[in-house]
Amino acid sequence: MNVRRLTFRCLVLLELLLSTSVGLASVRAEQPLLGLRSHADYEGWQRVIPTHLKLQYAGGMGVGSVGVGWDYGRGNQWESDVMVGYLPKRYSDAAHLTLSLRQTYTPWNLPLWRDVSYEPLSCGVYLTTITGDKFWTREPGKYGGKYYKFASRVRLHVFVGQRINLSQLSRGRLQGASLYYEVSACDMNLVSKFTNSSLKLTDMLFFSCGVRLQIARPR
Amino acid sequence: MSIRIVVCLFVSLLCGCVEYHPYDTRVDGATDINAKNIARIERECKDLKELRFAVVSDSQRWYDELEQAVLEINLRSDIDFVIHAGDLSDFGMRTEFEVQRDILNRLRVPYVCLIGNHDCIATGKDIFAKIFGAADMAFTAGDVRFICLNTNALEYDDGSVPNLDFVEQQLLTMPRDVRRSVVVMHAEPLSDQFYSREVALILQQQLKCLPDLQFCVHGHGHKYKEEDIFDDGVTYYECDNVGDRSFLIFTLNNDGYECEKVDF
Repeated sequence: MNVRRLTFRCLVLLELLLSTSVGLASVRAEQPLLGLRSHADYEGWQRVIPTHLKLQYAGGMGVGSVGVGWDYGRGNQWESDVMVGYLPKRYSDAAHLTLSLRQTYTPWNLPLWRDVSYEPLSCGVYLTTITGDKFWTREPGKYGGKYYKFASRVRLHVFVGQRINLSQLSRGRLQGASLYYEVSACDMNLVSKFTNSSLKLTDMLFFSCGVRLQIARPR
Repeated sequence: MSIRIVVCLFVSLLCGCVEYHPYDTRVDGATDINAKNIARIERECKDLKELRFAVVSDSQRWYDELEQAVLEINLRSDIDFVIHAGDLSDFGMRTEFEVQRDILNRLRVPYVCLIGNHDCIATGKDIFAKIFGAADMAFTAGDVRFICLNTNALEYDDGSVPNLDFVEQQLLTMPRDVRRSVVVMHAEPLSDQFYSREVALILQQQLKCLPDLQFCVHGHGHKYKEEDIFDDGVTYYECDNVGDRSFLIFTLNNDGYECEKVDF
């Protein structure tokens, strides 16, 4: 646990420093928002085509998860994703699949060098559900309907993270790629944190990382 | 070569910080706690003529109060070991068990944990088994046999709980130097965790066959009480939840036993 705490202190400090300083700088410089996501001109039926693919490691959605998503908003700061994850038997009672709905807000995008840009803050929430007989959405009738009063199958996570983007890849339909990391916490752990001053935030924050592939508009 | 070592170190640091799922069973830190601590209890209490142990229970989501209880117990030098009567977690999630274990590990004396009904939620049983060990266990301290039973019958649809075979086996293999017995459980036999009164009565008959049964102690109800629930001379002590800032201390010697409720 101590190693985890140390690593998280470093990550959270890095996140705070970079998102604050660089974020403010970007506002002053009036940088155009999210130039990477140049698909905003999708029209008609094309709006249902996913604008990106995501592959993620960890984050409470399984060991690995894959999914598609859509960017939207005036500067494409918003994105919604649907992801499917896999939790192998090695790390649980049995193999499980997860399904997650994610909502992300990424306010700033800063050009760093040529086609490389940096997003100092991405944050959001995601709802995850998992397969398996041991989990319930409504507790089984044997408990009389209101004993445990929560759904073990569904967890809500909140997260903050950062991204590095590479645009203008022009490899087929691959328009750009981003590497990202996130630090997340789930609802039940946060509930415990609010009522226990001795609980350390680092015991309930977890690290995840992934890659986001921007898909070009179909011709 | 050095780059490879740095990469390996970085990867292992990050792997310690990831969560595959709140209910994954990838335990971080100490495991098999009960077996290690039972060996210590049996060794340290072997020749004691007077035993004194504390019982805490139902510490789910009461981390602050559990920490305080650990501090209070550590301030005393007369306690030989501690028994946690179950419900370390509220939702059965891995981090709950890990944090509670880390708090209990600050005890100067050895401790054992029983499984509670909340600990059985989702993959909680598997996580509990990894961190603490088997749901039913027994050990000898001085001349007293402690039978720690999983009584969360409602959480096991296959009827395997309470494990009457385990109690039977204990009766058949009772160590020779045992003169008295104490039974610890999470939920008492007449609680909402038992499907039928018949099973509760069978269990009670078995428990009464243990050598000179002194008393039974349990949690689950979150309210201290002392009751002869079957009206047969066996007293059941219910321990408060830790959130009520109290625990029990039992002293066993040649004159019998005493129960003290400690408020902190």
